[in-house]
Amino acid sequence: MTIRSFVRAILPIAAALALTGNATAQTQVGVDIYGRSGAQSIRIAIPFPTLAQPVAAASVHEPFFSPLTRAIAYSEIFGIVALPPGKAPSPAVAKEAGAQLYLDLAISLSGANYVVEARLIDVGSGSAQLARRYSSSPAALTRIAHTIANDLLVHFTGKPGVFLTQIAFVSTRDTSGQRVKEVYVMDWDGSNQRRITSHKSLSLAPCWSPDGNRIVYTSFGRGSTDMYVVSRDGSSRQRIDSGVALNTSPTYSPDGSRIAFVGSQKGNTDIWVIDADGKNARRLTNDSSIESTPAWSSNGREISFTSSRSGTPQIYVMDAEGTSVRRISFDGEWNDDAVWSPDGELIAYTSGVKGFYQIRIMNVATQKTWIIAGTGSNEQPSWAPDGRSIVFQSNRSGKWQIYRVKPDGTDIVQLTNAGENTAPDWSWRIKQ
Amino acid sequence: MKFRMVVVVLVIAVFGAAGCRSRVKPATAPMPPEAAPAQEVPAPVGDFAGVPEPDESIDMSDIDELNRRAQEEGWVRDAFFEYDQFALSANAREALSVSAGWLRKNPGVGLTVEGHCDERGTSQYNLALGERRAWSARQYLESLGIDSSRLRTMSFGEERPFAEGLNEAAWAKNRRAHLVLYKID
Repeated sequence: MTIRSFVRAILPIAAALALTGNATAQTQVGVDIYGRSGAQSIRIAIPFPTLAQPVAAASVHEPFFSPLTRAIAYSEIFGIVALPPGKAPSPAVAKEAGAQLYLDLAISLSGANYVVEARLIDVGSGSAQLARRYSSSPAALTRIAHTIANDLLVHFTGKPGVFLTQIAFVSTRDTSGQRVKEVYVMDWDGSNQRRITSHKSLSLAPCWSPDGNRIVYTSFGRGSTDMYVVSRDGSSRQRIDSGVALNTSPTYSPDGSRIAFVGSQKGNTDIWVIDADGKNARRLTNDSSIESTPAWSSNGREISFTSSRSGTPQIYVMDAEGTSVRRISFDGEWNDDAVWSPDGELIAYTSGVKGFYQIRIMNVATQKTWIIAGTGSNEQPSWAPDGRSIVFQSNRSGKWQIYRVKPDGTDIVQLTNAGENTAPDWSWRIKQ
Repeated sequence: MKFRMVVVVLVIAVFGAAGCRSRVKPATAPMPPEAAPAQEVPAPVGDFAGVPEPDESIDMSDIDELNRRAQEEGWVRDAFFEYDQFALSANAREALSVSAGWLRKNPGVGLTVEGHCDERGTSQYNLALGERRAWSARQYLESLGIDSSRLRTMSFGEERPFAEGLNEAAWAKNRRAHLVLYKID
């Protein structure tokens, strides 16, 4: 069995283990320094790239080497093997250290561009499994690192990683105090954070279109609350006139053709849906209670939402036409922010228990739930497109920041620092 | 019915102008269609300072200054709510009755009713809750005869707290329908 076919065979097992909460308890192969399910991971050695003059190590480490190793470690497909210090790295040395693969990297300059050559060597046979050449401006060196990590995952699993996806969020960082919130985007690992709106007002709840080209959000810029669609680089902003008030919690259907949102007529809030071009707004719920926060199931056939019809905010599911409404959340006295995992099997949501807010995850089939415990308030989860992580907002540090965590509660990473940062929405896999 | 409402408002106006402490009896106040049974709840409404006589000295040109004075002098009064509720309490109705009286005497201004929530709970749901609070207050003002064309609503959810602090005193201040005057062109 080749390494590649072995990985494809064990991949579903590894994913299942990651969700049972026992992943950290798995026997780890001694030399793995990152792999959570070490017994299943491929042991790979990644020496620092060979640099051709005049490329300096300092200009490569943070923009390239760190994001590359971070992405490869995140995948859980690979366990990174530490090479012994004091020996020149080579496939033979890596083999001695227990590695199966050796990622040979060389970086040179061609004019103003970096050229990165990557060769993946099987240390058993000495043959190159993958050999690719990447070229970019210095500013896009991180993008090459993320592309290499994606290519390695495609080679072994048939699916790209999340390393070229992005996370939209809301931040107060460019303003004094919290009076203004704008929409920002960042790379999957928190790098490359940049602002894409400038309403100088409240802009809230960004949500990606499935093709990754646009973001829909709510802004208070006109003295009313309106939906806007903007390109991911901040250009081509357009207001969507729904004909009703409120226009909060907008969210694209998985096929990108529709946007579900919260609309209000004379104060009666309901779940509405509108075509993505701003036409044909129609109401899906018709209740005198408060309805909020719609989310599409991954196949687009169902919509979850929050309703106060039972007396407290709870999660309900209906089909996408608004019929067959049923309550699904029963644990916790205040539940909101439901989002479906990409495979449709899990729903993550914000769950208030005795006044504390935690991220709760429900198995849709069994309705069993578990909580990702953390200090402070923890709200507004969003799934990574590979289903292997969740981003959410927490005030555990005293300020609202965005964190990434595995669904079993392990491997928590803080992604933001400047200002207060909330309402993360992880993109789908973005077509390049 | 309409006539009775006018009488109620005039009574408030007269007693207010005389500087008396006064209460609107819930039994005589018109009930909006969605209001829950009146209940006494402590809410920071402030003293009943009364409604001024029509006053030519009120300067409509500086709307920010007018709003500052209107709140300070109690010409318009915010309505406060219980946790996760949008029904108007007796105190909230009283505050809105005073506000309606002033609005009636000053037809040149309109009113934006802002719905606000405390920071507990989730921000998306609170935007919807704020919308309901704003409309509870608006519909009560309409039931007191204020023309709908003068009224606007907007929900801020938990985005614009009036008081900071992780205690009931701060939270109570943040659960409100906040009344903001605007000049009708």
